[in-house]
Amino acid sequence: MMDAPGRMASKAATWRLCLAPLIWAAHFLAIYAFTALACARKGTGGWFDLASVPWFIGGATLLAAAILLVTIAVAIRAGRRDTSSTGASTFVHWLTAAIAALVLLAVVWETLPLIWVPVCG
Amino acid sequence: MTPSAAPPGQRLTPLPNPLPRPDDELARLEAAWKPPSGWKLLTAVNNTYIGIFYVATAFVFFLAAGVLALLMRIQLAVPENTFLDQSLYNQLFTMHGTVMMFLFAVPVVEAIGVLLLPNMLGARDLPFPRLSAYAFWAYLIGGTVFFGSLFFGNAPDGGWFMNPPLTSYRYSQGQGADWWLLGIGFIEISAIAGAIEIIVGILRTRAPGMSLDKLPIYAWAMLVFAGMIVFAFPAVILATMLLELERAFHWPFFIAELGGDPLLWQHLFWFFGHPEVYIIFLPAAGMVSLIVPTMARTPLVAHRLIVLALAGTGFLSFGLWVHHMFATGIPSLSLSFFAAAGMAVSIPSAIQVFAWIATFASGRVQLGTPALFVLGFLAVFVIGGLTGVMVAVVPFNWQVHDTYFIVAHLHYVLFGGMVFPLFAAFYYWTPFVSRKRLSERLGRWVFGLIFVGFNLAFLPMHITGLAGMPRRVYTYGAGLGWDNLNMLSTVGAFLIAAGVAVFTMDVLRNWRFAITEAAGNVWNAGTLEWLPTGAYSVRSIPIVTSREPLWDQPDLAANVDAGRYFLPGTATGRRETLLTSAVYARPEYLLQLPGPGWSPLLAAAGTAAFFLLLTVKLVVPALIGGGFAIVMILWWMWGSDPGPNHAPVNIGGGVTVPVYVTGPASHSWWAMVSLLLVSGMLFGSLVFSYLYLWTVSPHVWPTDRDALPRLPYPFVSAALLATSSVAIAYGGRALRKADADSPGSAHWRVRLGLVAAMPLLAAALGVELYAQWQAGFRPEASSYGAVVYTLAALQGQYVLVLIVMGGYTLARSWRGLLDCQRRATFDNTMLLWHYAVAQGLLALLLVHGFPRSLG
Repeated sequence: MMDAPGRMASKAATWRLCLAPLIWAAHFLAIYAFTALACARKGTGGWFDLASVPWFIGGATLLAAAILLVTIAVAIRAGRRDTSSTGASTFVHWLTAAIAALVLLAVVWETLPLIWVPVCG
Repeated sequence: MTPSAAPPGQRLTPLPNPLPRPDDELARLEAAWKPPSGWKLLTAVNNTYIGIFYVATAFVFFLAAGVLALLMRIQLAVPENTFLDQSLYNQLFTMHGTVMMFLFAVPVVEAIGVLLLPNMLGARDLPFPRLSAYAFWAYLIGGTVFFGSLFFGNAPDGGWFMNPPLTSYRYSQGQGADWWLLGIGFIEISAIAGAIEIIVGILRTRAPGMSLDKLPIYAWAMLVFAGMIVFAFPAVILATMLLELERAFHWPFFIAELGGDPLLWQHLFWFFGHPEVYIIFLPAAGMVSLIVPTMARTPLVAHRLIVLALAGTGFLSFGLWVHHMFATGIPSLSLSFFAAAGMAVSIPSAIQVFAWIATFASGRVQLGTPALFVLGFLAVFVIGGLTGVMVAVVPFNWQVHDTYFIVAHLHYVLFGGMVFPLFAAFYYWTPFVSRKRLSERLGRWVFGLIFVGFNLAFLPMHITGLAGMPRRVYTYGAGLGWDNLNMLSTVGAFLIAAGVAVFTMDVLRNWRFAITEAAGNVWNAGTLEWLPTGAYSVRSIPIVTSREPLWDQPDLAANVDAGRYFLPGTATGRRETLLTSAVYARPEYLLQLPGPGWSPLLAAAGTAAFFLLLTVKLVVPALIGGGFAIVMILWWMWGSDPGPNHAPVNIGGGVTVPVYVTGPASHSWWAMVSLLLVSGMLFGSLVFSYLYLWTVSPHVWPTDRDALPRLPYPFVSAALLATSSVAIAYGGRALRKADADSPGSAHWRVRLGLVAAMPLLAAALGVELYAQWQAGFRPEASSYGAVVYTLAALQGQYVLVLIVMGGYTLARSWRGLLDCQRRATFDNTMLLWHYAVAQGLLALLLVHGFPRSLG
């Protein structure tokens, strides 16, 4: 019902909307699983070394934050460039940026305990 | 009118249909939607009827579980009471929690969604009316039998979260736990059916112009709610499957000495259980977001931020499951992640609370009973939310773990966050389906009794808990400082009961079912469900231009009722609703809907018979019940892919839409994709279980590559899987050329693809099972064997389902009901087929690749 480029843009916007929650889930699962494995396998000399926990979590957080920042920037730009100026498309771009910002906050917040809390306790 | 409401190339006129309307138009519409009467009411599928049945049933379960609570409160009123013995008390608290959560809270919010959503969205019905009916009947039959187990002293008694090892075969030898696992597992399937219905309904059946930015907050809440069910419920369905496999066949998933781990249950259960709290809360918050603006006579403050809050809660709440496992010895850094997520999720909740307060503050409040319950909700829920942040703090959590502080907290959250809004909703929406509204005078009594009673019952419980009283004890000694606090709680509980009794009396006195002559918009609300309605919902489907159309479009109600908007009659002579695009709500096609029928009720009875008879180990009758259910479902499906049986119809204003579409634009494709997400989550939860069990018990994993099945087996199995997918794809390609009018070779190639694909899929499973057996692995020997065979068993379920679906598709082809245009049945079968093959390949990679990667 839409012309092809319009349909593509709409699909891309929908994917962008879902991206931030997926990043949040992937980040959360990754840091949880890595920590659990590091504690379960400590002293066995495998990949999941205790010393690597801060590096892994720090790296995962930086990667997630970078993707989220790009998502926010792209959504804001897409909102500005959107010439259809319907309430719906402005709203979708806004929601994409806002969810990504909320996820960014959650990702950073959930990583902060790394600074104070011992890994296996 | 927004330009985006029009299909491209077509312009919408403000009032698409002229007056006067043809004489017989309304009569034909009424005839198509005529509800069944008398005992044939059991065949009703229309959302209004099913919605009312559903809400009423859920309310009866609320009363029943409430009586259980009163019995417990009598027992605890004084120390060393002998009113109930320990065994019955254990059954009562287990049933109270289980029934309130699974038979009341989730069903009632789903029920209200079924009742309200079509009218609120300007649709005639939900897109799959028979699915709603099936979900309702399954829930009614299953729930009633499950509750009945209490009267035979045979109810589950392991607590509503059923932790093993207590609930496994060694320590729970009766059938109580099986009732829980099979009964509740089955009701969860009904909840998923309802969720898929709601997702497709909200995204695809909105009135033209109701683009996402104009979607009522309640619909947003229900969309997030249904999405959360799709992602959360599969985990607990898997958990119930694993525990039942352990109980019935001794596959040791949770037995530590055989490499299992009781904590696996808790992970799976709470991965569902914590989001469940929000699953219950979000619809209630959605109701509040509709009631508050009406009561304050002003639009909701921060509409966009509330949408953000709902979406944010939707995913952040999945990071809280370990919240319930802080005392289980999980690494401290891991606990901190969950504690942090617990605090993060309070942000979206706070956004909503502040928005409601601001809306009240900015309007002129009419202090009717709904407003009172909303204010009560705000006070109680905020206290519950704050104690929630307290228990998210790990050291505090350790102190109050399993004490009455937790009982107090969870009731403040659940009763405050869900039951108060529900009563607000009962008072608010009764005029929508009843000739008379409920009594405002009695309503104030109901509110006063429940609010005072609730706080009297549960506020002291915080202190009882801090004073050390553990939850779930059937009695306690005198002089521990708990006596007076418990007496207060008991008095409070009876005050709540008095409030509920007054409410029930009010309903019996004043509630009279009516659609056309309902009391109507007594609150002067702004959303579409208050338009004049008939059994067909709205006379014509409006064009929406704002979030509160009834406030902003002055003549809307009159014009809708006069038939001046879209589809003022029935275009095909059948029940039908308008399908629109997901983001912009542009008219896309006309969906023909089914009328009354026996198949949903009979299919639900068969499904219930299967699960319930299995519980009491009557395997053959259970299989007969299951077979009957499949036959009934196939019967109902037979007429559901009508093909392009009608020329495109003019719905008014020059807008012409087709009556049948296939592929990604169709509602059935969206439902199937939702089902695939459920399947993916179920499989993901099983993969998590595999990796989790390996993490805790690497010693039962084969480390020697020679111990594993030899490599040709998985490769043969994978090749068979891939070939079956190729065969289905071949059939799909052939179908493009299979014309309805010519019985050419294309039809034979479609059948060839289907016939070839079925044995290939089954053979792949057979090879895998043979390979594991040949290598000497047995499911009861260790958690490794158990999980490996469960992966195969899950694949086996898909093989069975796909053989039925493949056979059904084949039958349609033979009967000439499948061709290049009429292909929705084939497409759905194909989607599930490719999914099952992908899942099978991933399972092979995990089972054969992962142990090899370790060595």
